[in-house]
Amino acid sequence: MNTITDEEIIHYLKPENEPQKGFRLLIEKHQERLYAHIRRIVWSHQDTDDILQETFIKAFQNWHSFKGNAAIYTWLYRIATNEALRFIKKNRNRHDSPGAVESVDHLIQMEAATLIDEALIEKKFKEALKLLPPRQRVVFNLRYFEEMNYREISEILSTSEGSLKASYHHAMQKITQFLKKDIHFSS
Amino acid sequence: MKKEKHHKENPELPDTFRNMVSFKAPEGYFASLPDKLLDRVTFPETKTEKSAGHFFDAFFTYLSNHRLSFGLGGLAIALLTTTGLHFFGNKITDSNPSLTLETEPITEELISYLTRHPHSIDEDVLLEIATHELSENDLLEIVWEEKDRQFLKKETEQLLEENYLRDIL
Repeated sequence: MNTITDEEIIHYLKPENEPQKGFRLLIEKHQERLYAHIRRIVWSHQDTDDILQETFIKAFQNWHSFKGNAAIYTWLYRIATNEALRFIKKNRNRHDSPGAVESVDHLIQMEAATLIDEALIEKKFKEALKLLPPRQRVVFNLRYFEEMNYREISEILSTSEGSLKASYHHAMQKITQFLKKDIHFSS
Repeated sequence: MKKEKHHKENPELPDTFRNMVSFKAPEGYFASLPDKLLDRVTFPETKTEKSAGHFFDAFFTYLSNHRLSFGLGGLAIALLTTTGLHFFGNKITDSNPSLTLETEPITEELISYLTRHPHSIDEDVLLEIATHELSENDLLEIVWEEKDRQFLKKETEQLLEENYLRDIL
């Protein structure tokens, strides 16, 4: 668990202190969550790696403009989300194909019979997520996986909370409908 | 991060599913990423003696060490001051007078402006919007800059068509 605080990172990142140390702490604190967030949008590790690096570079280059009105992670999520959505736009053909589901090799390696259901759920869930339009997918990811509240998501996406709730509701409907075709689960 | 329970709004999707969907990074990826990124950026030199205060300290030390006359020192300071005023004066004069806004434009007006002047939007603007907590004045400053119009027009039309710009604004 990384216990470094925003205040400490802000302190070190000042040019007169130790910006190199500050940048390292910034990366170490946020890299795993940002990675998961970006990966759920663009799917492949290679693309995620490119976008994550770009996110941190832009954050560092524009650090002077971070005014501290929001938490650092909100600011980073906003950069990462925009970078990921921009990436999808540029590579539309590749990312619109529902057939381009990521490798499920690691699922095949699962041996325990009790894991089969979970493996199936994971596979179908990922396929269901791919059916969502990119922006709706982002809203769903932030709400369901990251467990953010609507106010936080609103700060990241600069969208009204009402619009986010509607978007999340539609996403949830699509996913549950898709999953119920193959998976039986009780509410 | 503050978490909210949202069982009620999605009763059909068990929370347990959340932990079943994971994306794992390759072994050692997070251990090596900080060093990889640190190699990609340039850090400012932290030699504070380059600041104006230290410069003048060093300057006066130099004068006293070399026992130069105050007259010569005064002349040097006058030259430095004149050069500084000339430099900053030019910067102010060169700035676009239209940036001097008397009123704070509201966001709707800004969107309206950007929509009517798509040539004034470029990737820098989008980057600024994405990375900065911008005030409208900040944004207008960027928008006023002259850019490659053909490229901007094409880029902006596409963005407006896809409603992307409106979304992020």
